[in-house]
Amino acid sequence: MFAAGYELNPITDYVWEISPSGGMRVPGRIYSSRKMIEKYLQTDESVKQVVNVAHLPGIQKYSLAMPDIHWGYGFPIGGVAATDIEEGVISPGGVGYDINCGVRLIRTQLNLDQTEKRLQKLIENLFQSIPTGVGSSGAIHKQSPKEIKKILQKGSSWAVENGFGEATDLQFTEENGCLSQANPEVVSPRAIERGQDQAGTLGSGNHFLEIQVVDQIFDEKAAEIFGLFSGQITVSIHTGSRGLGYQICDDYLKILVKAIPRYGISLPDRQLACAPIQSPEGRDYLGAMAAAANFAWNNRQIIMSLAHKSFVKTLNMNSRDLGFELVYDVCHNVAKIEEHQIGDVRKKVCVHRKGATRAFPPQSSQLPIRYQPVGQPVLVPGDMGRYSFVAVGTQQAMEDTFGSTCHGAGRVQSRHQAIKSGRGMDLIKELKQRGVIIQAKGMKTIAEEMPYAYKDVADVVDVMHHAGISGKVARLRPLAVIKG
Amino acid sequence: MGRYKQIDHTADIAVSVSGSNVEDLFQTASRAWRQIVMGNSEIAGVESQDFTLRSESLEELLVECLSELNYLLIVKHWIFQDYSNLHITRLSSDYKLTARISGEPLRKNKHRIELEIKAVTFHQMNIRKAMRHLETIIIFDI
Repeated sequence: MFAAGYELNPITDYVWEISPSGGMRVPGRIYSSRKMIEKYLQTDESVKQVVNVAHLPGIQKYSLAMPDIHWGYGFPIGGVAATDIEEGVISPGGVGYDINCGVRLIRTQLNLDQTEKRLQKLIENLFQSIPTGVGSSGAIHKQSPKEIKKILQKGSSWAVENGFGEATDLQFTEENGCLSQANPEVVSPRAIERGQDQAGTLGSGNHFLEIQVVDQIFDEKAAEIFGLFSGQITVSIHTGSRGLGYQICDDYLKILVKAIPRYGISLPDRQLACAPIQSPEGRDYLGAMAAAANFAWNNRQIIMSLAHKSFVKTLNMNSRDLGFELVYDVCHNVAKIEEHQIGDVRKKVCVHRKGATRAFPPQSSQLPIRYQPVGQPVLVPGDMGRYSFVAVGTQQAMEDTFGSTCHGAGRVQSRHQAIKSGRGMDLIKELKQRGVIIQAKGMKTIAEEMPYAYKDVADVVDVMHHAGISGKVARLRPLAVIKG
Repeated sequence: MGRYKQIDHTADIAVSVSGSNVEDLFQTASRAWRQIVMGNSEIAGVESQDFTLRSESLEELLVECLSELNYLLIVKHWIFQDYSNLHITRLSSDYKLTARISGEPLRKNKHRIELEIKAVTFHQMNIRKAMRHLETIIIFDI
């Protein structure tokens, strides 16, 4: 079949290949269903972006796209590309502006009956204690530039050392909440300035904190190992590195655009600005990006701790009975040096995941011992009116997608269209009828983020489940949501 | 006076901007940015400051300019209202913008930021001549 002028050859019902042509170094591979390709990809620029990414020097095996693919800056959102660390490049467009935007899932020992009557109060208190919205600030004291540099170096452990959460939380965070390549010295003073009062803040747009209930279990064994059970109350946090990360991306795009001619790199789109990983520009970007990733992990760790305190206070419970514990924290905008099998050799590659989640298999040494029998929890948030999913990584993901899977629903309506679609509707009532309480800074955000503005995340998750990349474990239904 | 119009973009905010000359184009782009982030909040020009930027191309200068206004808002909590004495000149190897900008400090009881712009991008930006005016598309990553 064809999409956006490109021929897609079916490999299976859920994997479609674009054969190399022109300067493409590898084929493109899109994970999707025939129905989703017909519905979403016919006129979208993202297919062309999959082809463009295939031109990157050092790219290995495939330029990949997940089923939530949509048009992004340089790379499509939902794009995955691994480049050889000796001969390949690193590209900020393959990470995105919100470096280490990610999701954290927290379980509790509460069930719906115990919580239902207190939900309104809970969400009000959470909204009070977690700064939310545009330019939100002041969750914790404004930090000095010196202290911000410590956060950039340490990631989540800075939060734990400063009383936000437990040391065990680190085990259940991807990379233990810290990328060791972080180099605060290559982060601009302006980026640090932007981070000074934003640690522990949620921000705006599609970022959220959600109280949910586990309403369906698909994989009993994995659910049990992840500590999830039917009717259980969970909390999800979706945010990233805030202004600090945006500034680092902005700073390095400018530097790397100028580096392209210096290294004789030929690209079909200048938004793919990149530099060899081993060049000074490439190494500096990797160090700065890792620093932003650490800021984001620290951010989600602080928010989790603030949410924990809010639960304890509102429900007047002790911590042990509440059982507010981290299931896992994943990032979905990052580039990381990982070892993968390429043909007959094991090779170190730089895996760019832009709007894609790591999905490592059972027995992976990167996982906490508790999860090794089943694999890595994969957290896939949906829109605020329907549901989110917990899935689990597989060996096939390691073989086919550099251990990567989807990251969310993806918009189908622009914000403008969403506002138009919601005109004349009582949006708060609409959500209430779906059983969702909402707290937001304004009606505009609610209108922009209504469920009809997004794809059904179940379609996205199902593609990766049937493709054998990440298996469904549980479905979480939203009960109360904070939006920026 | 220049014109701007928001155009549909699924994930981000796109705006088409035109102006009778390069200064008018920059002024209109800045008005568009202000409308997108501040909505209909009334902004007074009670304070002013010098504003000077240099870049290698006009597109880079426009991205720099809007990024700077965004930085003043998000980090310095100061809202741009308008320019006076805006001049954009071509030097031997780059472009220079000089102006005085007026605006006021952000006050939570008076103003409301409608939208957070992560970055002003080069995506589809191309300042070109069309009939008797200059035009470009600007995409704000949000």
